[in-house]
Amino acid sequence: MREEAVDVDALSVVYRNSVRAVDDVSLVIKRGELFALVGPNGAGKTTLMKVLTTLLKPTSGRAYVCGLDVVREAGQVRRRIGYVPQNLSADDELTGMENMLLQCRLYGVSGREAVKRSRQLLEVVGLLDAANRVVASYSGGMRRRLEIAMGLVNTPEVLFMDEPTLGLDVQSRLVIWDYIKTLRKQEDITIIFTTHYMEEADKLSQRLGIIDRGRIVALGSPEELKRRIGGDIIALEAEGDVEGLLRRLSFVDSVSLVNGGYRVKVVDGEENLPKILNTLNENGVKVRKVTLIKPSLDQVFVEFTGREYKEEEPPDYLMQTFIRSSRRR
Amino acid sequence: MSLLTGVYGLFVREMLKWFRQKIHIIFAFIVPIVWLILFGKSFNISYLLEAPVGVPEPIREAVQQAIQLMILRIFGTLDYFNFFAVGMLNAFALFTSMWSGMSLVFDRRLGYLERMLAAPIPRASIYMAKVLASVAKGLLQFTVMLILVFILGLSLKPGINPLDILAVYLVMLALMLALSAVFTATAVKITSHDAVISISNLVNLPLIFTSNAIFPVEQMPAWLKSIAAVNPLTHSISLSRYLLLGIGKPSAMTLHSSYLLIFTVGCVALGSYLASKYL
Ligand SMILES: Nc1ncnc2c1ncn2[C@@H]1O[C@H](COP(=O)(O)OP(=O)(O)O)[C@@H](O)[C@H]1O
Ligand SMILES: [Mg+2]
Repeated sequence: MREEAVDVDALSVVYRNSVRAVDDVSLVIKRGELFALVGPNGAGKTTLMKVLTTLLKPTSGRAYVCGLDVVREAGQVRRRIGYVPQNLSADDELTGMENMLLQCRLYGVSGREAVKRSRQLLEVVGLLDAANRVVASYSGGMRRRLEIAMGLVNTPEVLFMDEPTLGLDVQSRLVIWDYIKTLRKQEDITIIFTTHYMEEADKLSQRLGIIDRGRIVALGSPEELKRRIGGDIIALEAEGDVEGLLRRLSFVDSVSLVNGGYRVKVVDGEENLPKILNTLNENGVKVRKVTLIKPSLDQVFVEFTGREYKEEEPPDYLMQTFIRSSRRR
Repeated sequence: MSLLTGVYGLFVREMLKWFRQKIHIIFAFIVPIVWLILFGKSFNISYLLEAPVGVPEPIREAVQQAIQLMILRIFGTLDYFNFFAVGMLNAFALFTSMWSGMSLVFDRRLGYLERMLAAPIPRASIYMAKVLASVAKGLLQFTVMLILVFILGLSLKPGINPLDILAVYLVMLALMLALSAVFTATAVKITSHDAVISISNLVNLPLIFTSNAIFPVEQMPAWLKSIAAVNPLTHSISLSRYLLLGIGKPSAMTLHSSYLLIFTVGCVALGSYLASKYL
């Protein structure tokens, strides 16, 4: 019996402060997929992941992981999944090896088998040399790699990773990408990760869901989603009857207003941008600024939400997670 | 998986962390020394109550005898240090156990709790590992204190045998289990370390003063006596004074040990239940 890795049906989570963090989400992730859940901060990625990893009970709706109900069969689900939390949570007073051995014990693996598995996984993530150093002495990238190794001790069927590259420099992020790709190739494993970097979801995942304000607004492979934009985008800042003028052109697909600027969807942007500028010029419209944008997931986000995608973290981001993690569940 | 999956690993984690933090160790062993030496030795009741020199000799002797009988009646021993030291052995079981909730508070803060909750182990295992680690630390501290009070001149009852010492360890085990179970349970739902510290500070001295740790129960007013009667410390202290010093009626010990046993089982059961339900 090979049920779907994840099957979510009309799931909602409302926190006690009546924030609706996950809003009527339905989603199926097949076995063996490398799936990304991508969206801005506060979109509800962590919340959804906590439901799937049995850490949070949904307010309504159902969720199954490996065909098991995350509420009623939580114990079984826990045994089959690996979870790499968003916040670094290895014990930093212990060494990497001690953390691994302890993690093994939590999953019922002990003795020689635990040592063997720990060494193996530490080797995979390149931490064997640092295995006997306390985690407090690790760099951010090393800690993330340790967290990933810890999520794999029970050779999970489904691995959940919540923002595995959060707070890392570009170099370390690339290293993590590599591990994820290798893992995907070697093992019969479903990998589900969240990220607020659109580019990361684009480069890394086979399929992705864009989540915004608790809702899945788009679902598909990166290529599919970009294709759905149906062309290039020309962003314009100008005064005058831009909409009226451009709608008449045959190669213009649509014109919309986003954040006080015009978003003009066209086929073959390089070719048609000069024509658009000419048209506007001839009709006395003053163009202040113009950008040609090739389809990207950022644009997919704009397309489906009508808002610009901002991926930078709010300044009080760390503070928020700190408060959140200390709050009651 | 059994009820105890994960307890061993998590217990080892607590102990490793404790041994690695030298400051914990120093505090665990320096503070008792301060209390025992500075407090225990600064109050010499036999000297305070010595019959004055001016009294004519034969009467002085008689008065002195009467006073000694009185001290013996009140404290069960002529040297108050004996009485006090055994009380302190128990008091420190409380002082150590009452911090057992803190590690749960910090695990919640630092995200390790979430990691444990995501693992396929019973909630009660997470809780029991904390309780047992607190007991282990307490028993180590107790051992050091026992050696120390001996060096400081504790006079054990004549003919004491190793079984008495073993029995004292069992008494301390029960007391520490009960207290750690209670204080760890407070941190199951309370998530701020300030609150946990406040609770600990609020209850620690009242628990000491409403027991026979420093003064005997017999001379307390009736209302205090009835509080002392339900305070587990009173029972563990009576038991340990009996076992180490030979103070107290043998017939009373059944009551003391039954009460302590029931109290301990109750606390551990209740704490495990709360942990499995609310953690
Ligand atoms: N424990 C909590 N209590 C109340 N609100 C919360 C809690 N955790 C998260 N939220 C809120 O729920 C929303 C979704 O948060 P989260 O799932 O962490 O988003 P993401 O992981 O996508 O950044 C946010 O508005 C956040 O402030
Ligand atoms: Mg998040």
